[in-house]
Amino acid sequence: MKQEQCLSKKREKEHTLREKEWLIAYYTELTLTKSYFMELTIPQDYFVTYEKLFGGRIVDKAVDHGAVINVLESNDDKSGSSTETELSDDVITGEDAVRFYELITSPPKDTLRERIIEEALQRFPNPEEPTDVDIDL
Amino acid sequence: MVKFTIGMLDSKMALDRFNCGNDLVNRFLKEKAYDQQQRKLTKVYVIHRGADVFGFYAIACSSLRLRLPDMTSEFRVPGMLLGMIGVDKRYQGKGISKHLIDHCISLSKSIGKTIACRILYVDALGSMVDYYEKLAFRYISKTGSDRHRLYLDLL
Repeated sequence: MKQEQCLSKKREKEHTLREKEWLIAYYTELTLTKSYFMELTIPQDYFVTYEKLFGGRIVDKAVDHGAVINVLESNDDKSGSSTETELSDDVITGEDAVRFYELITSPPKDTLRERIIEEALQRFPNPEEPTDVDIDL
Repeated sequence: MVKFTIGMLDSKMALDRFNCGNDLVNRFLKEKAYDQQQRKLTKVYVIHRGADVFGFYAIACSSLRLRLPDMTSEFRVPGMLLGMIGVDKRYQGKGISKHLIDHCISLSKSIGKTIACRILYVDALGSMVDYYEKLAFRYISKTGSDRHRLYLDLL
């Protein structure tokens, strides 16, 4: 745990101000944040350009900062814009889709799930209202 | 035992001192969360004492789309997206995130009484997958280089 924290701090120091500025520019310029938690969907030609500019480091840095990077396959649209229908990150395909579909249509009995939900409902029976909780600090 | 309150983020709350150790999460809470909440892009629930905020999560309606090999159209699963969660470093390891997730589950169940809401899902960092699985979330798929989508069935 301590080693992880040290590595994390070391990585943080390695992010120079310039790199952070570029990261912000990167987020802002593309304006492709699909949602509020910095999920970026980047057309492949943009991705390649940025990779060249930053020597392959930009994606690592962005991911270190918590970003999710999805790369769209190249298509005819060279403008860098992206419509909702072109975004594929929320579509589950292949074996993952089949497995998830089966779990949704024929959910297995799961006592842990039932217990977790029951506990949550007991702890917060009226979640829309402000609720006090006691925490042992 | 110290008493905290979980409720919705409001404009009077002090966010300057909040530091969960992740710049993006900190920036979201300090610079975007309230504005996005006002624009109904997300709702942000915080655990606080007075004006001091010690943890938060952001939640929004969403759905997951499945493209099955033998189906021509997509299959949609309606649910809630646990978009972001953070606990101040000074209070990590005290069970605050469990309180926040319990609150999020209860809220999602409550919404499910009036609007179809089958799942609560999250795109978690790889280091958090075990944590969510211990809370009965099931793995769906990898969504980024270190992002993994998990869901809790609210049925």
